[in-house]
Amino acid sequence: MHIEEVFKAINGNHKYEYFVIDTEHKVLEFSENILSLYDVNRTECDKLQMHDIAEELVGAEEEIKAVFEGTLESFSIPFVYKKGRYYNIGVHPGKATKRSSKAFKYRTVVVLLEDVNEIATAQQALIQEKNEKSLLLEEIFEKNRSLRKYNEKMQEMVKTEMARVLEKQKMIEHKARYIQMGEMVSMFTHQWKQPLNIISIIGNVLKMNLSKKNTKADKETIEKIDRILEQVEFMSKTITDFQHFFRPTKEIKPFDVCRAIDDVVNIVRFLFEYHGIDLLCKCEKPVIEAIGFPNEFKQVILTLLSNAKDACVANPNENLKVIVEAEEDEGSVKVRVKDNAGGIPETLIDKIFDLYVGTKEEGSGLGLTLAKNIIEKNMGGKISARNEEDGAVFEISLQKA
Amino acid sequence: MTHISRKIVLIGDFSTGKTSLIRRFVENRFGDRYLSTVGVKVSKKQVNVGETTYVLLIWDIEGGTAQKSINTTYLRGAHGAIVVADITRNETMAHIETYLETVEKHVGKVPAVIAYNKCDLLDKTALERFVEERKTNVSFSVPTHYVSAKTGEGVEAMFLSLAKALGEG
Repeated sequence: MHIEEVFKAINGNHKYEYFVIDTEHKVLEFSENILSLYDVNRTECDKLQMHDIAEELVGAEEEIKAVFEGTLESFSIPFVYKKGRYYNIGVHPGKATKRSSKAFKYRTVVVLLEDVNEIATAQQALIQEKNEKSLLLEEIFEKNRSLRKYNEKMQEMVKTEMARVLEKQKMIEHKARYIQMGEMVSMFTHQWKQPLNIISIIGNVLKMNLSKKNTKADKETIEKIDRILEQVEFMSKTITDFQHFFRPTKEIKPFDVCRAIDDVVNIVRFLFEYHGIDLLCKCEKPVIEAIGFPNEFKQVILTLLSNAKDACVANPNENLKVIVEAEEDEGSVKVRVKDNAGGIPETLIDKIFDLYVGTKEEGSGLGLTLAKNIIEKNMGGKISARNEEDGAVFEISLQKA
Repeated sequence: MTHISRKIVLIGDFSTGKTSLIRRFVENRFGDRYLSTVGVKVSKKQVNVGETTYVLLIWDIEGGTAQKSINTTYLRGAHGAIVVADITRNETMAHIETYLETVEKHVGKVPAVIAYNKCDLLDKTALERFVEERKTNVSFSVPTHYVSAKTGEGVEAMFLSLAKALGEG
């Protein structure tokens, strides 16, 4: 746009300031207020260069050259804030060169500062309001996001806590059943021990009486009485074992792992024999001492043996076998319960100790979770499961005494 | 001693603290009140880099919004750029790359830096975690500065590093 058209366009409605430069960017003339707008001293006027006054045009040299050449009609920098007011700075062609062969089409260029303070101020108020609203919205959005995140976290926590409480409740129920059984066994022991003692005393008196006569028939009878007394002794021991089994150990202490295994094996042996399963107990040494709660350890062994028995019953073969091994290994005692009943399904092996996970349809899924809790949480040991050859192996590791 | 004028543009989303950073650098002042910039304001400051004195013409450009990007007319002839983001507003950081691309598109490959402003709003641990997280997950080809117009932390160093880069360029 030519400068004359620009002035027409302004149409007297806007205030404006200007300065005119030549092709060397020397300021040829300027409006009165330009000096104060750019902090220029009047004494410097004679040698003023464009960049001395209009720092906004630094970097725009190429465009200014293009305006002189006539290849760029004009250009402007809108809403430049100067001395408390807003200006549109426009660069427009001025006087044309006389000869068209010259490199420049124009001898001068006019830099026009149009005062657009009213429009800019109104726009500033609008932008301010819009930006403040956007900031508020961003803040609300961010707070919502945090709340949602917090809510999700809380839900997750509640879910975890619920699962934990449920697990604990099931454990308590399980333990309560044990305690009830313990009480029953206690009463049972009390009721049975007395008659067993009497049978034993009567047997011994009979033996003593018959020994005096010492006939052949009496000798045979004495042998039979001895067998009765052996059975009575076995029943008495079994009842004592039961009684000890259900009595919780109050403090962690050294105990003989082999003895504890024997106690459990004695209780379950008949069940294994009934199902035709060989139950072998292989302790490396006569006494292997570990640190822990002996009766709770027995409960774990009972669970593992009971599971192994169930697995054997569910997967019968001609040579069903369950082996309990115990050995010392540097600072620890290792106990393994192995069977040859086909092993744990691969899909379950990694979560076999999880709550409600089990291989038996009618099982509660609590036994192994409880076993893991007893060994790892209460006794500081480790329990793991793996498949080996033709069956499952459960390995317990306890601290050596 | 030579004096060279260099145009530096500060761009970024609205309310990231561009005006405050310039005010801190030029006048060593800070005001809490948020006043949106309209158009552009050019400030001037001399800095010495070795034997050369640079007159930095610092363009404070109206910030971009989701509806309106910055006016690229203001970038014309810039010798360097500072892309400013608000460390507490993810959205402003998400636009850093776009601003860097805009600068390159309109003025070519000029020295640029990224300013994560308002660092004073994070405590030391959170800031360290943020810096570490950015190092791991975000990679820009230009230097990054963690600054606070409020406390002045890192502001002078950031402008000087850019001035030095202008000299090297």
